[in-house]
Amino acid sequence: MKKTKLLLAPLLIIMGLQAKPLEETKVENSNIKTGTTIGHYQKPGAPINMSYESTKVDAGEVSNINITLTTTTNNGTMNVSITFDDAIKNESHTKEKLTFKITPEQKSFKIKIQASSEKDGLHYIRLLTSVDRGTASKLRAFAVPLYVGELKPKAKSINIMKAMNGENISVSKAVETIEVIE
Amino acid sequence: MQNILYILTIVVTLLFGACDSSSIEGGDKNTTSGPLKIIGKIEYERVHPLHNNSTSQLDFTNITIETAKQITVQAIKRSGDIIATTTTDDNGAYSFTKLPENTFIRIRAFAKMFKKNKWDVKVIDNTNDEAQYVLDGSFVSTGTQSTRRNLKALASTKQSPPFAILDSIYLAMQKVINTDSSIIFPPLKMNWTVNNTESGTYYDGDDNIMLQGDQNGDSDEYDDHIMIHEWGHYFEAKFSRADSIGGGHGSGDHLDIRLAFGEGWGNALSGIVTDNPIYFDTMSGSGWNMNVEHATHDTPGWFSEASIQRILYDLYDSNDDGSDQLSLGFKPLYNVLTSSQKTTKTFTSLFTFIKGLKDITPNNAELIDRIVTSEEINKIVDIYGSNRKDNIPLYRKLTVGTTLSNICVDTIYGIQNKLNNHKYIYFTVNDSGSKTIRITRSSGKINSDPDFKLFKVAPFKNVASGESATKEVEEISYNFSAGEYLLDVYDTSFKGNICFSVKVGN
Repeated sequence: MKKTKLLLAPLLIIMGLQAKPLEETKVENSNIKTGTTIGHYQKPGAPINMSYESTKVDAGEVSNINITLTTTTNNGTMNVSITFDDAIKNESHTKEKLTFKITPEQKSFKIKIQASSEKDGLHYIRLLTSVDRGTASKLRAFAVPLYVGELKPKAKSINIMKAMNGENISVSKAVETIEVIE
Repeated sequence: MQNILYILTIVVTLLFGACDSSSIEGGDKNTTSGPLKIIGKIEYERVHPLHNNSTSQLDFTNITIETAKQITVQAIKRSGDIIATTTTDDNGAYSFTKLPENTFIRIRAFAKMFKKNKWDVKVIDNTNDEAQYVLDGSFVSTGTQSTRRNLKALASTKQSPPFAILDSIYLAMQKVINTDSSIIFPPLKMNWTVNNTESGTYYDGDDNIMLQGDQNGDSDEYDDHIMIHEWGHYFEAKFSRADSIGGGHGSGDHLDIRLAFGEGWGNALSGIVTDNPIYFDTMSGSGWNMNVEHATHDTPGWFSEASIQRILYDLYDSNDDGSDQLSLGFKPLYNVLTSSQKTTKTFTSLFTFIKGLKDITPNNAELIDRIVTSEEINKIVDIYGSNRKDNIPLYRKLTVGTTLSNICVDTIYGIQNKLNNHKYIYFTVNDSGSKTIRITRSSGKINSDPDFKLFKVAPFKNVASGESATKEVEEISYNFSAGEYLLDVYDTSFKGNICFSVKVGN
């Protein structure tokens, strides 16, 4: 019995790559971007919420980013580890590891960062936080955006298309093997 | 007449047979006839965690090939016409028959599970118009021989996450189906993309679970315990009742009893479904894990999500150890959640659950008590949390027309959703009509901001709220129907120990 095995080299499309835009979408105008996790549902993790203000700047300009971390617990130590996307310069030389003592009177902590980037686009400052009360502590991660330069209109990835029935689909190419069978 | 009917039947069959199905709704469909078949398997790569003491990270050197179970698969012509639709089995296998010769066809696998009157779960990109994730094979001619076409989604190119997500949900659904085969799961959308950098991971209370996908930070696509935890909230919302007030929480916290139960349930369920008590949350560079069965008893109690997850897991598991000499399995827990927990007259909590469990399995009451008391909780005797060590009533009874005094909140354990931030009052209205609900500060810190939520007990529903910014007092009029009610009284100034008097009625 003859079996012919065909191994097709996949055309791999990495999800999320910004390729040639298929259509223009709305570009935000406001220069100060804000966000918060307060009031949102949260998965298990450190009992910490985060709010931010991030000033949109041009390439090379310094953005002021104000971050507030709040906890609902009364005691312990809040540990914060900060990392910057490679394209971001930490202009304020903010320490990458911070600790805050939590008391019933002090549950909210501010972190002021000045940052810049030579590269247009959306970059992130990430915070990994925990509350230490002497036992194994859970973590919670946050990401604060830094908007730089001409923000390209949010482009649809080239792997977003419409199926025959009009449904939006996000397509990726499989690793496929084909063989003839009896 | 018969000939006309015959012709009409053919026409209708051709019309429907040629139509592209307007919804991708699974079930076998085939619009062609031919001598060939295409069979195959849909698989995906699953990345496993590496636990190092209390930290957990994704280990990209530990990847297994898993089958994509019960997903929709289509055979599609170059024109875009769908020739046939089917569903993989639990081995990820699919089969198309009666396919035409010499026709270019691709196989398309959807990150979607659909079974009529059973489940409807799909993984979508919430940042791109809710695009449904699909995995495509190439257009290859069927030639003149039947073929096997296997498709695999890789982890390295971010193709596999949608299928890994579905697999975790399928595991959870199967746990429940094995207990109650008649269950029908309402539609559920799993929202995931690598662009979910700030989204958080949560159940939205309706038909969406949002999943973090930040590949340089926190991504949850392979964290099955997290997904099952969130699915547990979906389960509570659709089949049980969850009175949780949400908000941030941690295992050492003294939580509002509603939140404590909801989070303990989600954590326990993740261990129950996977039969693996290690709950983990992987993050780039770090991550964390906890043992839902054996974690250190940090501030144990009826207000502790960690105590509740341990109790629930011990009630379920077959591993008898220490105070846990009971192996109930999932069914009794499911039965309580879908019956007494759903209709309880007080807020859902460990008290309502354990009371319900002891009612349906009275022969195990003593062994249930033993598990509960190992968490430094007195034997649970009713839904009101009576018989507690501190002997301070969680619920106070109010008589309509009289004033209930010394309803005191405090912030000893924190704010917003912690123990003693909320106080609960129950009362009965015998005569329907408009009545005033009034909460007044009577002692403690000034400039309080008392608020409340009013619930009718049967059917359980939040029917009114008093949430103005008025200091020291909150008052509304409400048109009551006869029945039983609960009041949730709280202070949003969070200034500390404050006492209120409460009156319902004129």
